[in-house]
Amino acid sequence: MPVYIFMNVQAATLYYNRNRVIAASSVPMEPWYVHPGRLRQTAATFLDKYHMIAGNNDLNIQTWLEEHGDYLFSYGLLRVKDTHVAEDLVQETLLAAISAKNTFSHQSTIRTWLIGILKHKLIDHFRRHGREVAVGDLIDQDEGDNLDNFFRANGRWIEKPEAFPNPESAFQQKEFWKIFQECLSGLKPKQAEVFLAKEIHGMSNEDVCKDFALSPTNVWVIMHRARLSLNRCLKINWVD
Amino acid sequence: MLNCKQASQLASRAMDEKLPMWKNIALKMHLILCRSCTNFTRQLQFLRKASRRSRTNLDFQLTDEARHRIANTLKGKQADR
Repeated sequence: MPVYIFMNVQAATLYYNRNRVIAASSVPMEPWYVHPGRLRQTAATFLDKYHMIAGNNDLNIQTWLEEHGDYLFSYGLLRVKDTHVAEDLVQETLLAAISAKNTFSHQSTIRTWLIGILKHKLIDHFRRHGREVAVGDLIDQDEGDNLDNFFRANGRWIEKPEAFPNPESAFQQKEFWKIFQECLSGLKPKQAEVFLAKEIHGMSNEDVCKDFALSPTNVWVIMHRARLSLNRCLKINWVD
Repeated sequence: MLNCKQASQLASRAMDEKLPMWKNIALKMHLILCRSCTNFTRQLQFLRKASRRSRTNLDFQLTDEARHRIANTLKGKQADR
């Protein structure tokens, strides 16, 4: 806040001085029509764009594998459930991305763009194996604020949550991880994407919002649903 | 007073960020009174632990071998161009 005020004062002084110079000089000068506040705003958006292009959205291909490889791999793994196929999909995606590098518009982030390519590769993969997949299975729409599966109209639980058994003993068992993976695969595509990015790959809230073009409220809603669904799935398949 | 639906929403949100003070107080009040929602917050913590662990336990990461293989293929592709 103090910095903001300081900058405002500084800009206003500049503006004032410049106008005095214009008034004092005999040579007619273009007056400065742009308000200094606007100038700062322009500079800020410019910086943002610069960071988007130069920082996060590096078109240097070597970094793609480093930064996004794990994420692409885990996303693919949830869909195809086979490590080798998932690895191949990552490779195919990155190869396609290199060829299509010039078509990348800076409207989205690299990660979103790569995930888009991966989804097409997944559809191709399922087609090859004779499984008909609707694009809607991979790219879903917002389903609104519908939590009727979990809550009654008066906002009470339909099934009351019970405490899970001791986590440490669960984590020791292979069976648990198999079920956990199944449950993740069963999430709606958007929920799975956001949950993977946030909880498993530890992405920050801001990055999630930027990468998936979501508002913070969207993220809460998606995470809430994802967690409710996962809890229910774990309860049915693991606890009971 | 919050109902369970709202409370569970806040509890989920609280896992990701600090809640505004009044919402936090409302949530805590609800949790004192409601056993189901307390259990839900425990489930959330369980889920978080499991997710953190799954990166290694579920092999949600490319193996070094696969990483090298892909990197080499990509290099080959770039050399062609």
